[in-house]
Amino acid sequence: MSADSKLYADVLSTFFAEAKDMLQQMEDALLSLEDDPDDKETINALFRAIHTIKGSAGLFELNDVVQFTHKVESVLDRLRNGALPFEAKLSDVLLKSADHIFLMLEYLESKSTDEAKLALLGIESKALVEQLAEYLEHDTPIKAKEKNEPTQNLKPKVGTWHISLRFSQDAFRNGLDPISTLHYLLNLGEITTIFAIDDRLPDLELLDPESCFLGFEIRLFTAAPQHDIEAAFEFVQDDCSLRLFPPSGPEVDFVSLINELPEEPRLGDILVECGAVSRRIVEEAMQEHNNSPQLANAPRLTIGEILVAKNTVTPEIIDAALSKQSKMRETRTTDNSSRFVRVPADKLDALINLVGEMVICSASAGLLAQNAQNSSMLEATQQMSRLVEEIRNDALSLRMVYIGETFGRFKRVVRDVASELGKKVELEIIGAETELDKSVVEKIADPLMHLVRNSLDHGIELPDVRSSIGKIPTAKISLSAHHDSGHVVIRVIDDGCGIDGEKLVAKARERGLISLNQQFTEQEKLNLIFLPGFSTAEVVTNLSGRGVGMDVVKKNIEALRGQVVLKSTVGVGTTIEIQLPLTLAIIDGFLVKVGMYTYVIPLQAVVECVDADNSKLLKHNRWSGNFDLRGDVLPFLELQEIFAIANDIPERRSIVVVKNNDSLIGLLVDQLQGEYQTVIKPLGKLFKNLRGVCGSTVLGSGEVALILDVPALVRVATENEHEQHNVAVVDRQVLVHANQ
Amino acid sequence: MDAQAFHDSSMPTYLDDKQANEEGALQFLIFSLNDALFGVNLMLVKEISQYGIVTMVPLMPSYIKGVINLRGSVIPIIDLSARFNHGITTVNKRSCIVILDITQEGESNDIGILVDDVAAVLKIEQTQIEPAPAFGASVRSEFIAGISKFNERFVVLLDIAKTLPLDDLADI
Repeated sequence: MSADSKLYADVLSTFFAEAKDMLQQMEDALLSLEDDPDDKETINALFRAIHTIKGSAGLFELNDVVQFTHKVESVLDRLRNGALPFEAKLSDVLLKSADHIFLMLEYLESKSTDEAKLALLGIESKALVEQLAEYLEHDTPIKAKEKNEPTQNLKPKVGTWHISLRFSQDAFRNGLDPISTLHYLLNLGEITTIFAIDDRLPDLELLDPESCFLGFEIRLFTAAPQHDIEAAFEFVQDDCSLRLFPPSGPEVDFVSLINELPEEPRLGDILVECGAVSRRIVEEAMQEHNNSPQLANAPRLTIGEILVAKNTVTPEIIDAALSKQSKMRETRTTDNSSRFVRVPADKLDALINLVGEMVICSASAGLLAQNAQNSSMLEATQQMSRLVEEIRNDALSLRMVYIGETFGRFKRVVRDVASELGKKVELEIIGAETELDKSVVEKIADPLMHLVRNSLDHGIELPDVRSSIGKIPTAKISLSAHHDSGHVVIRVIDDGCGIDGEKLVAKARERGLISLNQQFTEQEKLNLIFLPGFSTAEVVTNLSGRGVGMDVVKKNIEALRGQVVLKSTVGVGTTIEIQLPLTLAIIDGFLVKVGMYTYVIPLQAVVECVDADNSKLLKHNRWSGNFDLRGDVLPFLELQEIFAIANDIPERRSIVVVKNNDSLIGLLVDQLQGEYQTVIKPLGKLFKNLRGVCGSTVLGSGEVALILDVPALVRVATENEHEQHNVAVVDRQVLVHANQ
Repeated sequence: MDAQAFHDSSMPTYLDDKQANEEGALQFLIFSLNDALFGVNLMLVKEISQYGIVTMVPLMPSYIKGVINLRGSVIPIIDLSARFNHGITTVNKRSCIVILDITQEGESNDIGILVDDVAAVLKIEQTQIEPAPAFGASVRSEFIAGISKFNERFVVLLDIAKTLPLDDLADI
């Protein structure tokens, strides 16, 4: 691949990524408009998104995309101008259009040559264009009505338009060539007079040859309507200011032009010369301009207002002014978005790894400085290690993203699915700012989708059913996220009909998933829903109930070393809680030592540390027992035994009291080493079945320390206990010892 | 030990420079373990690292020695001797960790193997590789890709994919 075509491919892939972002923005904007249809900012954002896609697609000559987006843009343009009300049906069509553009982009990106798929896209395009056309057709009747009114300006007519054009300084830098725009004008009609305005040109020694200082006053003789003339400037509109004066416009319009560009003293003369205005008007204007300082309290805007009041300004001019204003607003917002930089995730990973190495190196440099007893060097290394810490924190935070982005996508799902099912549902999002590693966020989206759909399909009742049982007709689904004990907890809560444990048991029996006389606690009954091949839907809908539901969700979440807990009350609602580790997240850890090994306990889980007074320890078996914690019974685990670490037990040991779900448990360790901020390094595939440890971290010494997964440790201990109670044939501990 | 050459001169020991360019020859890293010689395909070898601090990972089979920090990555270390049921390796001052890049199911994983000593890099002709004997070898025959000779001693060439199947190793 040549350098050029590689560059092209790179740029193209950036285009696809950006266009998809734009579509997401478009979708967000549409959904927020459904709540607040009059929000001008959002409508503008919507228009901008589609306009940008069209523009960039044009650069890559993706003509199908351009043609389709053009239609969407035209509709949005009318929406923006207030010619079209925002209504649910329009929103539907636009959402579908956004989806369709996404599909087109996907197709182009895959470089597929699948004819059938292409044809299908074409049909879909056509269907949508027809639907969109309805919103454009409306156009004509409205215009027809206007035609009857005194303003005849909207009717295309032959005449000499005056075009006042000023390019911005960045025009050349943005790859625009004014001359081609002027050439294009020739397609519309004849340029009778053209004056180049070079008043902004600085002295030669100050002139930046890459800046554009040009402006033009053009008289264009044409039969084209205003829309077409404006279209000629479409691609340069961000980089120029354009004023259009219709042939029949009153001369007084030029007054404002002259007023607006006072830095161009010759303008008045030029206008007179090209025949746009008479000398008298210009003189009046100049006088007004000279007077204006006295009218300090009534700035330029009032002139516009007076003109409108006097009815001397044609609608076109108001239009032009309005579109100029909105254009200014657009540029302002685009400036915001340009503050983001798109970076490939693997570059970030490489950076984080390097920084991690730096932390270790700076720690060992500090150690050397200490040993050398060189105080100035010690100071320098301390300074360095502080900076390196800072860099590490910043680098790590780069990978963290807000979960709100993922949650936001469910607005659309809830909206679509609810309307399909005839249900009324409101989506509440709590804790959107909770940070989570990007890789986890990506992997959690699918399971969440399943859960939300399940809630919508099976959980939420129909509005009339809800009213009949005294609930508010509009149901509520909440998505919430927060950090807890080194985990992220995500909840999907609905206030639907809840899950009946008895029904689950009956269903499971029917399917032969459990034996007939098995007894269950309430929680165990609910957990039956996670069994493979379990589906409670009476009718299999296209939404859920295909029997691949909850067991897959559970498997996916457990693959992320997470946990799912289901709580439900019949008639009141269901809460599904997902607990996820923060894989690559920074967590504050608490270092403890057992034998020669260091372990990290997530600090959020640590409640307190107490001296393990032997008189208060009562051991049940080798690895666990009870501790008298100020009169309360604290079950504790002896790490050394669970992990089978060969070690001489020191005289003084400590107990770290940690939270485990809702209860407290103690971990008996040899030594406490204090807090330490840890970067979790996932253990590889080899340790995927390892329990009790949720990751590892590299200490300042370069040594690897394992991070304890407290809930999993408790499970290991409980199982050990069960085995013992059941007079297990094999003593697991003995086995582990043998392995060591 | 007769494999000193590798350490004394930093030059790898090739059989013959001419042969190096011919097709059909494979390069192997030869190391010793419990006084026997083994070889792994050089293409799999990422680097050779000194034996440092290995963190024990609990509740794992004895052949998983633990994990080390290799420039920021946490890499599991396999005790090959324990894997061959020859008992746990006693670490001596020549002990090394050979880092292998194992690609299985399209996923690339780094794994370290603990060996007693690294002997040489050897170029071996396909024709000089004998098939694995059905029995009588010091390790299970499915681990063996072939047998060859180095300095008049037998070298067991390991089939790493079979010796270290990540999925099976992970099943505790």
